[in-house]
Amino acid sequence: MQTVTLTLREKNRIPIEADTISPDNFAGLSERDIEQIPLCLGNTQVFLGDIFEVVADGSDSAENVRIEINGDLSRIKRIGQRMSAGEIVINGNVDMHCGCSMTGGKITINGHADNWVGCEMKGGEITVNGNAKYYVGSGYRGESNGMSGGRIVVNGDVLDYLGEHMCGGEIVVTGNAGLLPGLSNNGGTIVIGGNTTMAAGEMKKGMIVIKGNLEEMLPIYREDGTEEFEGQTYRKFTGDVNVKGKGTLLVK
Amino acid sequence: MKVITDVVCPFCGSLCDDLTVKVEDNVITDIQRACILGHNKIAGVCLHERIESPMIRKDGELVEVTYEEAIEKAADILANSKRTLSYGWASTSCEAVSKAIQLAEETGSLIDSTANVCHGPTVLAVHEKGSPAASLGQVKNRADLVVFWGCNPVHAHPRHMSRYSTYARGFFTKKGRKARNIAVVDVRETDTSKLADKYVQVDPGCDYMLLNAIRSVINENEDVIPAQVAGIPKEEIIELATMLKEARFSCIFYGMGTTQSRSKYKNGDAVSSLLYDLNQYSKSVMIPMRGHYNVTGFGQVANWETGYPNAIDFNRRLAYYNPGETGASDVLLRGEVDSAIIAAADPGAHFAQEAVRCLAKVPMIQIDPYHNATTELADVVIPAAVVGVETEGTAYRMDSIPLRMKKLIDTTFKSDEEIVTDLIEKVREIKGGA
Repeated sequence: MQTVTLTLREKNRIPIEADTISPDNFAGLSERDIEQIPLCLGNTQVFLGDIFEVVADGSDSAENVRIEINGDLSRIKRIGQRMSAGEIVINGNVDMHCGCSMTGGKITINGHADNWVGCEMKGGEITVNGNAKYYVGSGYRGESNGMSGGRIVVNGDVLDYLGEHMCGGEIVVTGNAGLLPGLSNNGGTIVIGGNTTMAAGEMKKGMIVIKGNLEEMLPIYREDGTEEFEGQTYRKFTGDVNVKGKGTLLVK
Repeated sequence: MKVITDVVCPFCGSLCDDLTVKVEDNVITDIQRACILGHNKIAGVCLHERIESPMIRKDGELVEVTYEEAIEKAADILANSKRTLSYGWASTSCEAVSKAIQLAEETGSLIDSTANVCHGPTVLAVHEKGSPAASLGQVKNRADLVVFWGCNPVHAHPRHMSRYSTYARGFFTKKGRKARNIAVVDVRETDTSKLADKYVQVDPGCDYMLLNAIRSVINENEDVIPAQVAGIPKEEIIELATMLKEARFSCIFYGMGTTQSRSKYKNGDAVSSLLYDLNQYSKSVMIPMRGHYNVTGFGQVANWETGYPNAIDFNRRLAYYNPGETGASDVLLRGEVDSAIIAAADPGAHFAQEAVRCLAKVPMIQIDPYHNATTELADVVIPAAVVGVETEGTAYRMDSIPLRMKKLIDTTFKSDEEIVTDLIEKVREIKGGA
């Protein structure tokens, strides 16, 4: 077991890009080594030790590394980017691209996440105990494939474009979602506990379940009987008919 | 006295290239065929008060300084910043834009154009499914159906309808206005909708719903459309869809009604998807009504130099693009910049209040011919020559056709291109030779 605790020294205004903070990068490193890891602050480079107080214990491979980060990280981007194993726990808010492109491991955010949390995710798990903003679990602009695996749970609300271009994996939002969730879904599953609107445009495959109210239904879905999900019966719609989609939209 | 023909107007994205200008003793005395917007811009160069001298703010007041002092101070700000926003660049030449991008790259800055608050979503839509387009000449010569969706050319592009899209007599459209049907989709009646053959009033924020409904008609999925969508009865939606499907050549011109309303870039994306459907039966294209005369040019230059059309972040020495993260409004609203350089735009007047507050708090350089709201916040001000009147340059029309802007009169003001070139040199000197 290797545990590393990072405590933010001072809240920054100019964003820091911290894609080097991941269990894969910390595995087997000493406290001193971790302090020397480079981070990007605007157009300059700084050392991790300048930004965080580091307390490290033990040495192990990535899957047994646990990183705990304390502080308001709402201007620290890309934490856990591309990680393949291990655990990160963030006690505070976090900035954009947290856990993006990850393939394994687990991230828990005890705070709010910003845009693009878990974008292009391939595997692993992200839990946000707070709200998240735009493009949760989506792809990069112009990519036809976004999130392809893994699981994101948001115990709060999210904003627009939830899971855009998703093609696999699972997203669960316990609260409300903004506009246009599940755009261009090509194989993933999205469950929205609260309300949303204009869901599932251009869906080809996959499933979207709306437990709350769907305020506006796009005129691209054909009603197709009912279906049960987690013990509840929903009206079932198939579409997007204009892309010959076979996606499933379950609404109350 | 000189009579200069084929003058290209430096105001809007229509980039009219048929103006005739008379110049006597280096003063513009007559302008033919310009609309009121273009006329005011060109004539204004000899009439309006200019920023006469470079200035630096000292103890809260802008004080006149030499050009060299201003360049030194500006370069110093840029060389020592960790996150500079370079913004504007839409009302200047492609040559100046190219230099601006170089300056941004060498200072690890973020550069964005006015598309950020205008047609940025159009570009985002194009990333999704492309943009079946044509030149304005093709529309003039062929279109028997023109749709103005969420735009008002009578006000914003005054000669567009007569030169290109509505009244123009083209090769296959010799009857001019009578050769075409004009449809307008908007949330309220406008001076443009009053000229339409068919006006469709869509509920505010519901363009995406309507576009999807039209797609359902085209794709023979009428049964999924309810009795009313976006405030429009089903029969009217079918009528509009049929007009589009039965046209020989249709063009959808679109503006802020689609890019800045709810659903933003998904509206433009739905238009290109609709065109994909229509092009199975007919020929249909889309052209964005670009506002500034060379915002398209910024996109062109940025594309071929960086691979991206705007909102480019050079902080990690490579070009990174992600509107929503790297757009001018994004970084200002988050208060995450420590300096700014603004040229050929006026964010002081046009940006959200929170963004303007951020600009006010950081050292800011302005390059502009005229005093504007942004000048009130600037710390270094450098006056520039007006492209298309006092200096030459290339600009791109809304349909991506490049035209050469002419120099009509002489001036002592430096061009944006020269100013940015001097800034690059000074920054290199300060940084010790990059």
